[in-house]
Amino acid sequence: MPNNILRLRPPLAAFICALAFTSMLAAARAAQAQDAAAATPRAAETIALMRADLVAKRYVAVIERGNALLSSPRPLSRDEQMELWQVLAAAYYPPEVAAQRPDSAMLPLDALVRLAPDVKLPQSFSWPGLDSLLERSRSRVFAVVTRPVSEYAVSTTEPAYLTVVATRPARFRLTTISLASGVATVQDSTDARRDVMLRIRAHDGVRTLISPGRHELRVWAEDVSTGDTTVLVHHFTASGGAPPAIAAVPAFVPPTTSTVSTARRGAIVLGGLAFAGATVAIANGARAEGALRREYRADTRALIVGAAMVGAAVTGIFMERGRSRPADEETVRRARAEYDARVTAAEAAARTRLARYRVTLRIDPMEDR
Amino acid sequence: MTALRSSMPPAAVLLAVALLGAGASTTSLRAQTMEPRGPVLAVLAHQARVRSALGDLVPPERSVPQLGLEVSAPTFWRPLRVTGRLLRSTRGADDLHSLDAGVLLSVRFISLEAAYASRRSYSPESGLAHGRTAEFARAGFRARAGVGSSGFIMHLRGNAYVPTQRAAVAEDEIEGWDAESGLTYVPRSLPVTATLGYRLERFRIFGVEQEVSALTFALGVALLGR
Repeated sequence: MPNNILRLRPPLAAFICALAFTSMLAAARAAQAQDAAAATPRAAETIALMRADLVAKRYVAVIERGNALLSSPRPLSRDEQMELWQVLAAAYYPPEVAAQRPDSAMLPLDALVRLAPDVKLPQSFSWPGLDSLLERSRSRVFAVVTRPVSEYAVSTTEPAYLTVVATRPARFRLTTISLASGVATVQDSTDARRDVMLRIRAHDGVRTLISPGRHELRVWAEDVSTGDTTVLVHHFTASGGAPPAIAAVPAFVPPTTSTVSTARRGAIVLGGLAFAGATVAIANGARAEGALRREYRADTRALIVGAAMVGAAVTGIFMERGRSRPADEETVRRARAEYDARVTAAEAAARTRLARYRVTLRIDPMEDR
Repeated sequence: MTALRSSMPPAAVLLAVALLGAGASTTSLRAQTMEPRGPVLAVLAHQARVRSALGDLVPPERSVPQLGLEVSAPTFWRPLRVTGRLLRSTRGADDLHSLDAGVLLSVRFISLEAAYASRRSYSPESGLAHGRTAEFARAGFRARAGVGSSGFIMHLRGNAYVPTQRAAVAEDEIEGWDAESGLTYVPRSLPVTATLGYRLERFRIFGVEQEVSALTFALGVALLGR
């Protein structure tokens, strides 16, 4: 046993050393990151300082702080980005003519309309010159954004609506694609609009448009002035009850009656007798003359076949379906009323099933394409 | 031979009967229902009675069971079908057998038939097969008629035989004939057929007059349905 411990000692020491080294390295990295974060002011604070500088008309300071914030490693939220671009644009294009740098102001404004195509500048920054610059930016950048909520409850009668906004008038089309079956359904489309609410339905009354499962939602937008297109893609999970199966109601078939005429019955009997007669005639009348006829009698087995033919003809009379012709008016009217009642009941059942069908759509975080 | 000719059935009479029967029964049937669309393959069983005579010498009647196949297949032209029938005695290869192969031209419920036929006859002295085969050209008609909508079909056939071996026969041009009638059941939902029929065949081979009378049973399958 002591020998074994001695044998294990060197690897154990190496393992302990490696563990200690790794822990030290991790601690050093964490401390370094903590120092960097502490050195970088929070984005909200910086933006607040930028606002104060803007009010004090210290435009150069605003721009310097903004550039520093943009180059910092800390990620900015969407709201922070929007505020930053607005303040920067106002600093680059203030009412004071001497401080105006319109070309530089276009960059934050372009970034701003990409984030929110329908953005309006806050009262504190807004002045006619900057507003017209914002409109110019809107007119030169084609950007589209969707604004989904995280969850929709969709029923047959209550569709969900997805807000879509563009910088310029565009044609929109919303398509859902089942990831399980690959079936694509065009849910809604519009003519040239700048902002729309596109409808998402779970059932159109005849077929199920969204079944429980994973789906892709695509918003296709085409700029009507340039023909540029863009597609925004979301993924969502639909959960809920099984889609209702709507039974198809068969078409109304007017009732008919069939009658077998006496002439038809007669023809069948005559045909049977003719063939049976021919069979007997073959066996008796068509035999060889001379010695063979003298020596042997006719084959009576032909009678079996002849009798079978007569039997088939009699069976044929009873099995004959005859010609069908439209039933009388009263029968048709009664059948029509029964059919209408069946259709009404089927429609009511379908409506009930449809009304019960609800799905919940949970939208994943947005991905743009 | 004169006797043979004088008793020649009455092919015209049979044809008239067939036309009458078929015409009466098929007034409401379409032409397409008369012949199946696809090939038809049937297994045949004949219970034949063979009677032969050489002058006044008449050996005892022989009863010969036969088994065989019958085939009918469509061609590129709808009214034209090829047909074939092979029947062999179950008592050995040297016994009664027959082979037919030909074409069938159908117009509604009537068909015209032209075929090659080979037959083996019996010796009236020994009552056994001659061991020689005679070949004929055969021409005739077939008529079919459906029995209303019951699934039954009645049919009638009549054929005249012309020898292809002129040296072996006497001066007569027509050496024999056959007639056959039958009742076939074709179920509406199944592509099978079942037939009960009667056949009489008589001809002269090598001076021997022979009469074969048979009750026939057949089970078939219509490969593409009716």
